[in-house]
Amino acid sequence: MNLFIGLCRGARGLPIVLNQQGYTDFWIEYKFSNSLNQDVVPELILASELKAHSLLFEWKSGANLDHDQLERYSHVTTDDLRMRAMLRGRSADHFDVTVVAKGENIERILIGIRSGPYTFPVLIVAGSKILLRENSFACQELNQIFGAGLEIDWDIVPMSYFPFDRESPLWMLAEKIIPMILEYMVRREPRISLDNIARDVVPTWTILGQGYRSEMKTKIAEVIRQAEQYEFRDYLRYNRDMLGSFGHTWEITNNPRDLRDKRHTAWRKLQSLQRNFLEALRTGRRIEPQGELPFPGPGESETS
Amino acid sequence: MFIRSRQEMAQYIHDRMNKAYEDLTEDQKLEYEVNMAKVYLIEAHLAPDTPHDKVFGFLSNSLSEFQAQHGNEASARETDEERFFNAQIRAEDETVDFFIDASDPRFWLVHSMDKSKIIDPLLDKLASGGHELDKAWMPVQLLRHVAGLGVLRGLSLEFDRREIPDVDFEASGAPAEFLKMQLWGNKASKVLSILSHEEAFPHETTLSKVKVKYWANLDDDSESTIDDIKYDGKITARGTSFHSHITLITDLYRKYSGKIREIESDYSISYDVEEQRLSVRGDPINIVFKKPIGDMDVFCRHVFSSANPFRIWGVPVKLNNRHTRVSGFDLHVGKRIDFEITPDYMRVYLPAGSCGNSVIRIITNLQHYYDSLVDAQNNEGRSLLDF
Repeated sequence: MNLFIGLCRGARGLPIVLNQQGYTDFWIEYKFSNSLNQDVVPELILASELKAHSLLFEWKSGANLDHDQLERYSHVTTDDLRMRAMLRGRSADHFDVTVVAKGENIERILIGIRSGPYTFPVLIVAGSKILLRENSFACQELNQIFGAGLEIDWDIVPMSYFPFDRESPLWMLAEKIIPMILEYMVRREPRISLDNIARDVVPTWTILGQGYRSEMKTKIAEVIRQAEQYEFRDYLRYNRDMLGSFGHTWEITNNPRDLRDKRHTAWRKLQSLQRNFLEALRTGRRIEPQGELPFPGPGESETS
Repeated sequence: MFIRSRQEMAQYIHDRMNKAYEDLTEDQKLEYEVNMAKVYLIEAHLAPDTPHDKVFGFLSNSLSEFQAQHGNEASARETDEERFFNAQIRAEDETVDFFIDASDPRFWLVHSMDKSKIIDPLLDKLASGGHELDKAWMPVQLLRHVAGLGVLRGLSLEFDRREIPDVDFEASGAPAEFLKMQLWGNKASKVLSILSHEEAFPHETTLSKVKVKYWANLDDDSESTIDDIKYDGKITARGTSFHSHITLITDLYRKYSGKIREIESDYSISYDVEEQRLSVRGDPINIVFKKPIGDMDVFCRHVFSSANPFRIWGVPVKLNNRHTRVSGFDLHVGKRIDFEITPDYMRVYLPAGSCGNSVIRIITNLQHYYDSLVDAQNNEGRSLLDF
């Protein structure tokens, strides 16, 4: 996702070919209905008025294809894109549903595509290139670009348009969650609610389905639980009394903002704690003693 | 001292400037900085349409917090005019007076006629103590722009690479560690050009102050001002015309505030949701280095140390040898800000609601402590520091 948004925007360090062809990142995780009124949710839609063409992306991290999903995509029409996905001007004149897969899974992916048979172009990530492996695009320039393989410097691909998703490890969430808590401290907010912090740190929150939200909340709660139990235990305390009315809530018990002096030292201490926290989440190794565990475990109620 | 209106303040400062100018002409000397008009460009974190009462409340709270933190008695008073205030702070057995023009609730002009020796530390503390106020930071490009508005009569250069020691200073071809220089006179422009030449010290020649002679009315050169404009938003003026002085400053401040607003409107990253549709707005700003970073770990450790001058809190996460990510927190403004650092450039992601001041402050300080030629560009490679 970050890569293709960066390609459209001509992000520094990436090839600018998609940007030059006029592609823009149009919708993310946008659900609309096909001509049979069945829902499809491409992870990303790129649209180019210049090339009168759009791309509907599905990335596959594994080797399996969802045939029902592919079938639904095969019934998407240009009218659906115009009237239901609201694509502008000529960008809906032509389109391609595009499957992106890892090179090592390509054989099984191709079996799925050919079983349709579906005409969707299949891009594979192989070494330093993104390569067109099966079928072709309605836009000739894309066939040339991806047919020869689009060279990507993977080391410097932008990562921060969408910094994490539900598959991200906890430490990646913690990178964003703790600075958010610092912002609450500066605003002198007395407590953190799980609902609020989820909304504040997950850019896609409002469009996520209930299942996805629930997964994200579990992960965010786990990050804050560990923060409160270990490295940031002098700063946060779980408030069990508010669980029924407000869902999971943590009190901010120690705020550098309230200090008359030595604020700077306090912020630096928090920085050092964050370093330890990220390391502990990454490696699973923590040397600090474990405190009591007031946080409700799985199965206990959460009202939110 | 109490001044009731902007007009009264203008007259008061104009008279003091002229008195000082007469003394200077007669005695060829001026008691150190006495009677020189000073203006500090201070950025308050308030919305542009904040009403008078809220601006006053904000100022009073900031001063109360300042008093609680540092023990200096501090108070603010309203005047006859909207968003024009007087403030007094007690320091070193003296009371210093500030006249605060918050016509733009976000970009304040803080005037004073008191001694810099006392005022400067107070304003340093005021701007760095909480998260509500900050100085306006002038990158080299803006100082060059303002120098071009009048006649350049002097300059200061300040560069200190020791703040970010990512190279071996003993190695051959190593950059200069430290450069500091003051030059007064009409050769300033020429000297600057020589020092900035690629065969000289282009990476270390960082303007920190320009002395500009300026006439608001080109037909009357007796009504002039000579302003020393420093990169941290402090301006000291002498001359015969408050009108010329304020015209120059407001021109400068408009350029600065326009840039801050451009950064916030065009580059801050926001996620627009409308009827279950999501799109991303904004793009990162690329801070571009003319020479690759010598040691990424050292660079990141110093820039993101929470300490002055950058005051960015963050834990660098090394993704590979050429890419480090920092989910940061700007201690100046109390907002998040994210970075992706490569040897050749740094992408800065400013979340919606964060402050453009953060970006300009980082760039300005990189010019003073890393490389004078640091630039900020959009994805098309256009400099955002064209003023």
